[in-house]
Amino acid sequence: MEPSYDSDKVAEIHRHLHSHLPPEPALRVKALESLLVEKGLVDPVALDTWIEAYTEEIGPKRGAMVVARAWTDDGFRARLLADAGAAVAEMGFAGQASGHLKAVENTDTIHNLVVCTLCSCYPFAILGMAPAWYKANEYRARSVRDPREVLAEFGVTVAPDAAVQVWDSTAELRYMVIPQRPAGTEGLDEAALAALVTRNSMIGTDDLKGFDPKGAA
Amino acid sequence: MQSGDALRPLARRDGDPIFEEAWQAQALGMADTLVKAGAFSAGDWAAALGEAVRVEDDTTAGYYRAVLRALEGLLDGGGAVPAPELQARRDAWARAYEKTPHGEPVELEKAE
Repeated sequence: MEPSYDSDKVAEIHRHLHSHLPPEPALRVKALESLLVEKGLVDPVALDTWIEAYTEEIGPKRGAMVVARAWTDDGFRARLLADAGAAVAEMGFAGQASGHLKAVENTDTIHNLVVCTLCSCYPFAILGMAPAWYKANEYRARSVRDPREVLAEFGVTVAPDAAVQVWDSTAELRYMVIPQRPAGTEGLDEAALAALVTRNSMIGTDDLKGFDPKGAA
Repeated sequence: MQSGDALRPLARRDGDPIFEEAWQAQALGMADTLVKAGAFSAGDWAAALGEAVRVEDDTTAGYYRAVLRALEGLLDGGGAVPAPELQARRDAWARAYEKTPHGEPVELEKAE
């Protein structure tokens, strides 16, 4: 008899292969949020604003310090690329959200972009809160389908002969981008370098080309 | 109970991330916006949270489990979001996650 693959079986196989069901509290929060918004008890814009405000407080500062260290210390950079979790732990940034961290490096020939198409996976311990747009359906869908167009909207132009690599985060593995060090920053120390690293540059939606070396000197 | 600080209790751990996961910020953000909108009073919130915190371990994760439990309890008790309705919606989201192929955004409609 021919094996029959009905939709339930396909769904089950799919679950095993790809599904990363969010942790229980995340699922309950998602359920609560969608109900409260539907009932008009919570304004989604107000909620996003609240979370954005905290973005600054917990901020991407740790990630920026990691990037600045990678720019100034080749040994650290190599360790970061080999095992990001261990490398950030060297800086005292151990944490449950950074254990499964992978750092990917932008070069002249490759531009990295991070997305989480399925869950809301993001290295919170290192980059702080994910921006609201990162969680938007539009970004999650379009960054995979047409990353160059999405990048262009963020003001990032990738040379036609350079590749765009999109990294899809999962519950098990989260990414941070090491942006290219801007030209004209040779005289800056690690702290000054960290100050110019933006959150978006560590997601891939900023190439730090807006940095003005004259203004920082 | 430090009710005045009930919405920002972890700020004292200076340098530590206040949130470990997005859901933690969303849970606290919902509580704060609901208090500001008058869905329940700041006093009721602090009392419910204080009670929930006592039975959790003193970790960031434990604290936010308490936040979520307090929030669910107040919304259930006040009738705004009855527990069975929340459970049904939670199950719908779980189905949506399971049915959505990797590479596509998860939307609730896919489960219904």
